[in-house]
Amino acid sequence: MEISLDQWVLFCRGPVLLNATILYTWLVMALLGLVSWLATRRLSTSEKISPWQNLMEVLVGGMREQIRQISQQDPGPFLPFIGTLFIFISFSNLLSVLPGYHPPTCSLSTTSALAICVLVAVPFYGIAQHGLRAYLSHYLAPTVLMLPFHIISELSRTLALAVRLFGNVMSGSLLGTVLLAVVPLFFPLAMQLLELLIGQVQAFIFAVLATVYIVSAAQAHEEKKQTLRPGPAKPETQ
Amino acid sequence: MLINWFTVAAQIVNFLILVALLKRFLYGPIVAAMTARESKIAANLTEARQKRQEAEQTEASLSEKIREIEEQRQEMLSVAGRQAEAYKKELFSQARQEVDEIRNKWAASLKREKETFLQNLKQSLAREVLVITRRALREMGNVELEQQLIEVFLDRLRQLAPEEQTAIRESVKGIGGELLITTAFELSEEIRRKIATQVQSQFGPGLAFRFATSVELLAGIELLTGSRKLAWSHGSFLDSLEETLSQAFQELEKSDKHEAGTFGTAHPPG
Repeated sequence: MEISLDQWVLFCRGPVLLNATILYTWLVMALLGLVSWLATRRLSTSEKISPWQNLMEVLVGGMREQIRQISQQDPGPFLPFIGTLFIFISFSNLLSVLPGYHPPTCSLSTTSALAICVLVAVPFYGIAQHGLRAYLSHYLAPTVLMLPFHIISELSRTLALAVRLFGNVMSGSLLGTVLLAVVPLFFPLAMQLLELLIGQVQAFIFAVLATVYIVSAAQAHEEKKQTLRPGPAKPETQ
Repeated sequence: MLINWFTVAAQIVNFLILVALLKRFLYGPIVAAMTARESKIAANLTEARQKRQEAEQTEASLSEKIREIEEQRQEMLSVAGRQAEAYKKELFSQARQEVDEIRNKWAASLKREKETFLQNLKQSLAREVLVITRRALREMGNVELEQQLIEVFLDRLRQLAPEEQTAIRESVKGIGGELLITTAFELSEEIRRKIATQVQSQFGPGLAFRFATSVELLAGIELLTGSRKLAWSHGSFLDSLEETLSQAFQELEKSDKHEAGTFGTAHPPG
């Protein structure tokens, strides 16, 4: 029994290697790309639309609405990043119903990679919205003494993001395997269903937290500029 | 070690590629299509609202027109009804008038016919009565009866009022003293003398007498003095009866005409 997919190496030449994590990620990417292409190949702008377009519109519209509610601003710039986070994690976890498939999100490397992306995206969106100087001054507020705490805060929440997702998905797979050995009938099925639900919840939590981090970085400057304007409460770091 | 840093790097790259892929194939087209559809639907809704407004205006104007037409129709109907009523009344009165005229004419002609018939009936009745009477008297008449009649005549002559006697006397003088005595039967000489004696004793001597017979008298005697006549015969009775009857008929006719006039002007109720 393997804890990490990373150790299931299929190909290795020097530092370059191809393990199951990357392979399953490619599979998920290929499927997502194919479905997206098929669904958006013939888009209709009339009142009558295909079921695929309808599904995609529901998905994209729902995500836009969620982002709008959390960020209180136009979801346009955030949608590709946060939407892809959600879709990738959700789809990866969903595919675990297929036998022989292992979700890439149960690899700490994958979740770390996603958390690092969030870590980078926060200053990226902050700088894109307010400029480099304004964004950096946020780390020195209210005093220079707070700089280490800000940095620790950024790093710890990134780590928390990565470990939370990894722990949940990996535990699900692990639990399934263990239960299959202990109680072979019915109970693993129920746990599998629960696992599917947990996978979706985790995708949602990851995406929502990423949104909150990105938006809160931008919001801090907004609040400094316009102290009178009410904004969403700064969320607690989990 | 749970983290393979090469895998992490590869996954970051993979993730970025996926972001680009989905942005290219999913978000871009879907968002564009949604925006286009939303704007199209909004445009459709606006257009529909406009058309609805137009339709409401049209409906309002149409219902106004329908109302006007209905009013006109009602007006025309009431006018037509009034005219028809008036025309009906006129026709009724015309018809009633015509019926009245026809009835009056008919009544008048009936009346005329009735009158004519009654007239003819009365006249023929009277004539028949007279004819029968005359025939009966003629058949009954004979010399004895004549003698009786002459006796009565002479008796009446004696009882004649003095002014009558004077008038006859005057009349006899006017024609030169000749008297015509007519009887139904031939008189005997004795009776002729008796009459002459009686007349001469009453109207003066020197009178000439001429005797004649006439079937018209039926029975009796008639004394003619030019303009005056004294008679005692059945024929003269019947003559006076005829005269009386004809006078009565004339009076009856007059009263009938009066009644017919009253009937003609009277209108039945309704």
